[in-house]
Amino acid sequence: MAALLKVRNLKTQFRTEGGLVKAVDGISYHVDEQEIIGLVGESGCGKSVSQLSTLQLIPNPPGEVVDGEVIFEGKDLLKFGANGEKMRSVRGGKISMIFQEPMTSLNPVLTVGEQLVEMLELHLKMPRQAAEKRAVELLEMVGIPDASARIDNYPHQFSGGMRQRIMIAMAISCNPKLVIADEPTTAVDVTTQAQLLELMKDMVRRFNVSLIIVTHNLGVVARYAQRIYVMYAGRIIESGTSKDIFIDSYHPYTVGLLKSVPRLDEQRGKKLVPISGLPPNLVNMPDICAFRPRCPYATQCPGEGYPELRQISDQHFVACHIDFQGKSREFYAK
Amino acid sequence: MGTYIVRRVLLSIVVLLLITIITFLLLHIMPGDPAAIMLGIDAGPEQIEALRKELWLDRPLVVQYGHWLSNAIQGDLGKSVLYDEDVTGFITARLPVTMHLSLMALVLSAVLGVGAGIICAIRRGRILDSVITLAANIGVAIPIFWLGILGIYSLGLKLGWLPLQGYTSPFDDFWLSTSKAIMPVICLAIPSLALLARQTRSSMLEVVRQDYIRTAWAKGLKERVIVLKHALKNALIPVVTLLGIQLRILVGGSVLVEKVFNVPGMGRLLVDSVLGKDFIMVQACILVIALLVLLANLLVDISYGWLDPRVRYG
Repeated sequence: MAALLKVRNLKTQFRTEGGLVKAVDGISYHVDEQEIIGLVGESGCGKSVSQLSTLQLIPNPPGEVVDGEVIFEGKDLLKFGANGEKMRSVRGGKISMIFQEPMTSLNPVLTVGEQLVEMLELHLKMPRQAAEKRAVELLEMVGIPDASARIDNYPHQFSGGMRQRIMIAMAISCNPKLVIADEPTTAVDVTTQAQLLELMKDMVRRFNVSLIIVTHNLGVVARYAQRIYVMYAGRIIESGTSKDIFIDSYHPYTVGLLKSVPRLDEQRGKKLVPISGLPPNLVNMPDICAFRPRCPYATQCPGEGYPELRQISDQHFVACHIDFQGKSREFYAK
Repeated sequence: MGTYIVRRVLLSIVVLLLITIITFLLLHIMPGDPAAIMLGIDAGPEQIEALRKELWLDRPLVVQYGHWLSNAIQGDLGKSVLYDEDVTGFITARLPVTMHLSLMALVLSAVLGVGAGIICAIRRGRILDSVITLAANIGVAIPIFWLGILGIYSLGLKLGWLPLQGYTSPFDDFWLSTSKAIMPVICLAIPSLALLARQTRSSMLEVVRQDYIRTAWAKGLKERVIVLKHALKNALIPVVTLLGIQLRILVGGSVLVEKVFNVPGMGRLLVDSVLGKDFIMVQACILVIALLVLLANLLVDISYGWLDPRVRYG
């Protein structure tokens, strides 16, 4: 399948009082048509910033996309003026976003209907009445009961899960090619999470859109994503198919992440193994492997400088100096 | 929205009753016998007694209040101590003058203040923002009587562009009235304008950082739509509060400007009556000003409901 979105060497920096923060430091990834991608990492690793960067939604100042290409449908989005007409027609029209906080991501003083209708009017040039009818259909589609009455309600009259459904309805309303869901289920309870993810999967299938799920929750991507990118300190440190990441995980960070997730199929009472230490401060990072201070194999690490991504199987890439292949990890740990 | 307005109006009526009680009691809080004060030191006891009867001062307080209130509703607020005329006549002559100037100043400061605040917020950190913010800070700090005197001296006396002082009703001579109103209105407007600009700027800056504004950008909306439709309505909530307070200040506190420009308005009437111990007039002035404040607050409450659905359904 053809690549819908190709991001190459994207770099986003923030000028802060403490110094230059390289929030996203040269990441490359691609999304194929109708594919579900997972982008995983801890808080502050740059996953949200990378997604806001592709749509040029980083507030400048203090942030700035300093390098890279975002090729979408053959055109580099970063070449479009940040709030020019071309960029605006992509936002919401071709690529839409679902944000983390359903409680605050909808405008409290406008009805949800108005917030849907204005998008339909803008991108699909629908006349008002048709747009209102379509808005009701969309709300029904995402499972809002009594949608024709609820359309005139305000966001505070909906629960968190319902608001996130409305965000999903907004995201798919203008038949986009790609939906970016930035931690879509972080702020809702577990049962609602599952419902929302199923809903998103249905929408992706039904409207033939691609989906990027940005999350720190490995369980979320395990079930839905076909390919996964793992980010650490502003860079992608491992990427591959779901199987590559979950079964054949290679990077010590990925392995550590998986060890810190409770599993149903493991013996009860077994302790989880946390990754020791804290994520690095992104201000003035030295040019070494960012995971090195926390890496259990650091003493045996042969490499200097930042490890480049290298291919270890068909779709599996990893940025690690150590060659684990053919050797047991216990061998290194000693 | 309808029930919300009805609720607000009913509440205002309760407050209105409280206001009338307090204003009525003003007369009795003051030391000494009102009738004796009204007649002066030369009056004999019979005269005072006669006046007490005439003013119903010999009856129980509740009866007095009922009598006063029913008169007040019919527009009779009593006779002035100084002029021996109905105070209602004074008030109907003075109130329109103050309202004319105050409302013009309010509209001017609301439109320019909110506009300037929005421009500052959009152009944050640029030169235009710095210039407007500096001007607003000066505007807040400047004493308006000084500005008025400066205006009279330069624009009136030296350049001769505008009349020095006084007031003419716009219904008598529109152009003369407007030219006389320019300086007082500007003097009245500047402090509120500056305050409103600063408030709008800071509340806009607060709002544009919110998640729903990022959502609006992600939807591909134009900057103009985001600012005027998505941000402004949210940002106006604290601004409207300030606007209500400003109206109150404009109506009650225009004394300085009225003095400087020799405008026969409510502020001057109130101060002159206080100085002349014309307590019936003071009572009437306070009642009218309190009513206006009540009305302003009602309007503010209703605009809250219009701006913020969470208030309306709360």
